[in-house]
Amino acid sequence: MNLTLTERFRKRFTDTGGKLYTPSWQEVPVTLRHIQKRERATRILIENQVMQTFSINLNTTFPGMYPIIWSREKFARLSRWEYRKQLQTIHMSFSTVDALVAETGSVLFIHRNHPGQGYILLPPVVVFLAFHHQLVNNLDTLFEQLAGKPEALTEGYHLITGPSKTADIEKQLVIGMHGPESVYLLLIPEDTSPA
Amino acid sequence: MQYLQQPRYRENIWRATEHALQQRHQAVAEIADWEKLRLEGHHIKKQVIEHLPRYLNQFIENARTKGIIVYQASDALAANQYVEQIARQHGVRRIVKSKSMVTEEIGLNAHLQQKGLEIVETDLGEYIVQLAGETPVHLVGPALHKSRQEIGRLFSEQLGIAYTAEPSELTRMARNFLREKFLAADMGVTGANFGIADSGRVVVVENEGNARMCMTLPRIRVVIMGMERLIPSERNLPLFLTLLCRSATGQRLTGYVSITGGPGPSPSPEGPENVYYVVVDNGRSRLLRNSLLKETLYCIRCAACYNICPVYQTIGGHAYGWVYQGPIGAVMTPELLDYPNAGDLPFASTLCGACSEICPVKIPLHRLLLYQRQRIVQHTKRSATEKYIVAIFEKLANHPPLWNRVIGLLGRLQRWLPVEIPIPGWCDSRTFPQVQWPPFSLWWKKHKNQKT
Repeated sequence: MNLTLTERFRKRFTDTGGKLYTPSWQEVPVTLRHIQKRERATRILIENQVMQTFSINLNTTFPGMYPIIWSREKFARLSRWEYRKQLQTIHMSFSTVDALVAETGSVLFIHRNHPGQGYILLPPVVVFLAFHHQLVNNLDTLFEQLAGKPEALTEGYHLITGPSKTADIEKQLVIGMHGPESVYLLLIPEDTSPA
Repeated sequence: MQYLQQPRYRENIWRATEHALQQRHQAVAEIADWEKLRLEGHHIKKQVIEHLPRYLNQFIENARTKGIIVYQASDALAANQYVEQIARQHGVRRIVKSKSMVTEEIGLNAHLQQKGLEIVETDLGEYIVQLAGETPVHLVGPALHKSRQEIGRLFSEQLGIAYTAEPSELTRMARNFLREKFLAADMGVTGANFGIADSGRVVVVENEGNARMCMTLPRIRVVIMGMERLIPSERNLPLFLTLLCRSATGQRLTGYVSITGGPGPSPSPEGPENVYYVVVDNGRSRLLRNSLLKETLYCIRCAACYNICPVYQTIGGHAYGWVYQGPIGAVMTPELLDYPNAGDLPFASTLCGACSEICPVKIPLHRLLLYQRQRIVQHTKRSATEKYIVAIFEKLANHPPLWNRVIGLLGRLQRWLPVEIPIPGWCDSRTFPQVQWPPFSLWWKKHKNQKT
């Protein structure tokens, strides 16, 4: 683990208005529960990869809440109308990401690796989960790495840096214009994964 | 003139540009080799513009292999008619749009509205100016001339909501109103900050997430871009994102940077089923043919030259009369619109050179302003009166004793007859200046031996 890189990322990510947690692998469910309570979120969507990677037990993590598990299969079955109707009621979503950039405090999201994109754009609160090994130093390193996997990028990709914002009224910064008002990141050291 | 008479217009412009300059200064100070990056950016854009047909062909070919339909529009009308045709072909009625200067340039909104299509601006600043029936005052902050009270009144009148002047509350109202528009939209229109030649993808840089909505929700996506917006490869993006974001908003990176290509796998409940690129010329070929003015095609639309220009800071964007304002607009607009409509613009400059100093891709703007002045003077027919006045001035300026005598006479005349000297046209918006009497030369002769 490169502490300098992590600390740099932490500083830049929080500078942009993001909220960072660094739980161990075992602490992930408790942290998710903590954020859900803090945001008073009632309608939750969880990307299937989060469920699988962290073996989330819904009954103990979100008792009585019935979150939507967002998988490729479910996503592909929805009509445009059903998709929009479902997403606009979601208050908080949990998603994995594909890389983190320390220089800018950004998160990379490669479209092919996820079941759609709207679930990290429409809800007011978005929680990303990432590992330390996904950190890269700067944009140069990121784009060098991406150049090596053109197939993965076919459907496109995007970088997210902090919550949605605007300063269009008298240059006063307002958080939460069209996208999420709150962006959380759980940065997890992989060496704490269960053996 | 009409805008300049509005209360607080100039104060709002000045405050906003000063704020933007401060933010930029802090962001640029973090980069040790900023000058090196500017030079690199200049060389890459030069390479692209010198070989634009090759890069353009590469971009279009790569885009087509991704299933994107590409149309090259020679002028504004061709571009507008093509977008209208796409809308008709796909049964589109509602369109959402993110901020794009080229769509302002071609007058897309007016064209589509005239044809009975609904098109809604979704960037907050653009939405405000659309509601007000105005045009953007600034490339990055379209509504920065408006105070929060004006925006509060506008929202109250146009959206029928209770008056508030609180920016967070106004933002929330706009968000709710526009969310409905996104969810109902059939087509999303965006611009492109960069087109990537070797992948055929486009890059859109924003903070609000509205462009991401335009790309994610509607079933049809249209990208409208100027033909010069190309960079060779995605490997060049770190450089250009650094130059653009830090110069434009003083951020290390804006909230969202989207690099997108063709339609996704079908069927899908989100993302476009069809993607179109409309690559617009609209006068850019004329710029390209001029060995000096083609450097304006390096521009990455950061508006840093607007913010630092003492003329822009004083008069704001509307006085330039068109989409591109500030020093870059003063150079480009006469060429894009032809001289008779915009021949005054290159003269609206102090030639201080601050624009050239701040430009992230090192466009020598002050030299181009001077060059445009020369061309305009050479190409414009001047009236006999003007020629006569210039000839008299030339004569006087070359004969100092004669100059002193005439100025002295004028000064005395002004003191004896305290009425304004009316010069038709010139004095319509200004008063004739008071001639200094005694002149400095006389004053100096008298005082030069005095000790302070």
